[in-house]
Amino acid sequence: MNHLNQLDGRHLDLLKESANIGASHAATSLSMMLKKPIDLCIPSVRLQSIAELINGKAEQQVAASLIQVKGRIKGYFFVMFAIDQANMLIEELVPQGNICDDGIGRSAFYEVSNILCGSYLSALASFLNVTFIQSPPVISVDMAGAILSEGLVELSLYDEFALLIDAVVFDRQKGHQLNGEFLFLPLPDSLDVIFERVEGKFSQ
Amino acid sequence: MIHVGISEIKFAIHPESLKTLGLGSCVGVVIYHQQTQTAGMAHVMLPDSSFARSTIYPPGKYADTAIPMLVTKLTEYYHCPISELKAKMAGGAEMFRTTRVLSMESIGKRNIEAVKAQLSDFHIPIISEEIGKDYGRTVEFFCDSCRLAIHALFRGSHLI
Repeated sequence: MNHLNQLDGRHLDLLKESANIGASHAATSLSMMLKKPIDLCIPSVRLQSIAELINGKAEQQVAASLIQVKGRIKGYFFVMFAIDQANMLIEELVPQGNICDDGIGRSAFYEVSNILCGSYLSALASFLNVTFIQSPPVISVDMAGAILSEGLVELSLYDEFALLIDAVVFDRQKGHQLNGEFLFLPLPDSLDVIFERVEGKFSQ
Repeated sequence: MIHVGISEIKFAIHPESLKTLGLGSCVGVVIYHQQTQTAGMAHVMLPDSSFARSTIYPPGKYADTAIPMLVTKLTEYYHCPISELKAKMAGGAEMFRTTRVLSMESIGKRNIEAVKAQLSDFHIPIISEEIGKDYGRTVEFFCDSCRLAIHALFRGSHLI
């Protein structure tokens, strides 16, 4: 069984490359949805220890979507924005919306995270040549530590690390930037698949 | 203030307090000795160490290893009589309750049950608790008043 920390710099570069392909797909979808040019890029893909991840942002107030990934690769996908950033994103879609409104604001966030996750996964799927099935998102607005531990609990039995994908959403017209985080947590068996496929790219 | 990280166990004597941040499905359990104002806190992640896939893990991670460790340290190092120990606990929420997507269903509930079973094995009474529901909690235990402060987003703080 492979562990995430066996991934080295070149593996992470490849994963970042595929993440950026996914991000550009997501940017196109978001631009169409918001009817204005949106850029989305992935400045870094890195490994972080689960304990560090949870302890580091334990009390940060975030809006997060949790999406379960099934198929050849299984795992959890978190799309996470600080509450004010999530609200800025929602206001672009529904001017009166708010992440805490339990109605239109929340469903806007639901849609955005669905698109972001979907685009990212479809790029990763074609890069790794596997298929993914994603569950509908579930949303929680709370402390990051509390939210993350729920997804990480299962993973923590096997691995001490998680794959963290930083995402920057940039609104070209307004010139403001929203920083979000995508967190992809493949289960250990699935990690073997990712490993094998990424390694295969080098031997070709 | 002594910070208790995830899967950790820490001890404090007044005027120190014990604090753990962002409990979701995890359970924050405090075992304390009122007379000497001594307390130990664990941030428990999972109910049972039989889940562990590796042989090396912090004892605070699982309920069945965290509680015995708390009791042993309090009685042996801090010389608190076991019959005078009391407990308070918080956490064990279910953060995403709208749809169940996680295969390990309601880990929060199982954490609560496991902690309670352990405490009852040692005949340690639970004086107060704030458990379950669907929101995150930050807790701090004050060794002199033996009160546990609970803070939740949009809900403010209160003492139990």
